Amino acid sequence: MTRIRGSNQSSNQSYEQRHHHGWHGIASSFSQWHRRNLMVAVVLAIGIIIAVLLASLLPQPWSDVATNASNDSSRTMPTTSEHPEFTGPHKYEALTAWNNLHTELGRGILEDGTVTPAELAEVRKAYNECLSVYGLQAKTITDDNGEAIGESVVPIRGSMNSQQQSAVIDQCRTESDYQWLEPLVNAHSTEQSTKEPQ
Amino acid sequence: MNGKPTANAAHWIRMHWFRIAIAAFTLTATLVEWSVIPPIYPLNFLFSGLSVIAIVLSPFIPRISGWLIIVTVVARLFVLDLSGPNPLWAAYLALAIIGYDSAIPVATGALLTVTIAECVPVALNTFNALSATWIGMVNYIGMFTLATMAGMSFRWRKQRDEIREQALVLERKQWQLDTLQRNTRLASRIHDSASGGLSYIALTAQRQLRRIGDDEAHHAECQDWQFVNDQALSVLDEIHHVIDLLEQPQSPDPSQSDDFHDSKTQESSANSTAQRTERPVPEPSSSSSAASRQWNTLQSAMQEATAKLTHLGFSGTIETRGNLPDDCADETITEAVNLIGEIAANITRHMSPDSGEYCCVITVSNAAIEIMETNPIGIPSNDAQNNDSSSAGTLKPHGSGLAMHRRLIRSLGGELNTTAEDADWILYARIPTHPGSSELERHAS
Repeated sequence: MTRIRGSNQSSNQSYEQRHHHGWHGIASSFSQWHRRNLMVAVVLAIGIIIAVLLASLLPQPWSDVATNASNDSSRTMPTTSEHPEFTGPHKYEALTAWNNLHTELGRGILEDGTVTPAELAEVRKAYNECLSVYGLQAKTITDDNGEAIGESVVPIRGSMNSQQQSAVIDQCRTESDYQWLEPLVNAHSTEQSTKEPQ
Repeated sequence: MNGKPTANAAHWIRMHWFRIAIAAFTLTATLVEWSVIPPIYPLNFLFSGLSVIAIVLSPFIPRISGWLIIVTVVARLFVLDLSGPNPLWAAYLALAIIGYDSAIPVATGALLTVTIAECVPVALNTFNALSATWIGMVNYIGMFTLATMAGMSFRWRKQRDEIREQALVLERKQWQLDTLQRNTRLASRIHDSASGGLSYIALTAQRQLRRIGDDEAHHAECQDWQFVNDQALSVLDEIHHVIDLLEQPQSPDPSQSDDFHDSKTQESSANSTAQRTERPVPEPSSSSSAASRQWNTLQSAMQEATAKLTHLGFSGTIETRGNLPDDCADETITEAVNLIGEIAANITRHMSPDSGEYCCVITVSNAAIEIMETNPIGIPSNDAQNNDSSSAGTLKPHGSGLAMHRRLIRSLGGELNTTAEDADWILYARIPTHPGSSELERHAS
């Protein structure tokens, strides 16, 4: 910009010219952007659409938890006469749990008749995944010594009311088998928990 | 080899550190949330992944990344899965980027897109709404607006700084131009008045020395004339030195000097335009008296030049043709008079009295004053050469006189050309009588 004017009038003029050039610049840069990046944008958009279509065909776990909770339906694994021979003082609890299990994971864990804390952690992870879809997370409550004394579920996101929340929590507990396997690990441990499952 | 790209990268990072910082903050927040609560549904995973990619790319392609983030934020509203990283971090980043990089309507469009999209789950009463109530949504809408306004305010601040800087540069250039123009006028004035007069003095002294010869009887007189010649020449040298100093552009950056000439021409013409428009239209009686005054000035300049040249032994004619228009600009007459003086001074420097006659024709029309001058390019006679070599020095042409006049005439919208053909020096100058109007015509054409 070497256009320098002496009077006020002409500096206004040059300002207008610059303004004018500015609009031209926007238009030309837009068309340039248009030409250069249109192909990239179109390819990107098509790629995303294809990816979205493919991803929407994949299963969406825990998607029917809310509906199941509302109509109180819960599909358990097919019960057959074949089940592991449970022994010990808690064999009836184990058998009840076996008949109420929803997942292959739960059956795999209970097949040997015992539930270890590591195995329960896996189930708890599935339980939390189910909760996270609805914006909730299970949180272990610890005492001053850092020992677990229970757990609570906290809302992270979303706008569910407490009634809906408790329905979803119950359904997730059931469908992730956490409800049936959690008392068994307590039963097997030396320290008996007096906490009732929620 | 690697030095330059590294330096470029460092420069780029310095220029974009704020973009990189906010993108890094958003990326950290998003990845921490992702690691704690990973996305469960494949679609949610896809949109969250795209969002992370867009955050990473945001310093490089801000607008595309911003809109990609907004697309993922809107798309995630239609996937009923609240797992995965919080999309709001990326949404704030995208709105700020678009507010900074795009025009106000585009930024407002982005803000409305995000706001309306976030209102859809609230209206449908689905569990993935930001807030269960409309009152709660106001907070989020406020946050979106703040993010956009933050981007916009940074943009405005940058624009204000740029405008301020431009104004400073412009002011400095204007000052330099004013100084340069004033110096040119000063130099021209000094050259025309003092330099011409001193040349005549020196030439007269030299002529007198030749006339007297190496006569013992006139030794004292000869010494006096020699002294006059030496003094005149040394003062002339000093004056040329001063003119050179004045002519030097004061710009520290030599690359700007071309710019300077261009803008100087335009500026001075703009000045004269302004002066012309501001000047009241003269009344007929006063204008005719002004014209006659101008005519007298021109005539007296011609007579003065002829008288000086005749006195120094040069022969030739200076004549005028045509009549001066009533509304001729004073600066045109001034320049014409100065140029006639310069031409006369040049004749004394470049032509010898015995090599022929000079001829100068001044044609005056309504549009311009045209000056055509020819004279043989004379080699000084042996006698004179001998005399000069024996004397303290010859009259050295400075060489900047015509160049200064050329610049001044060009700034008035005219032209000055000189050629040497067949041992003849030809000068042609056209000075418009209305410097402003001719400039306007030239612009119009």
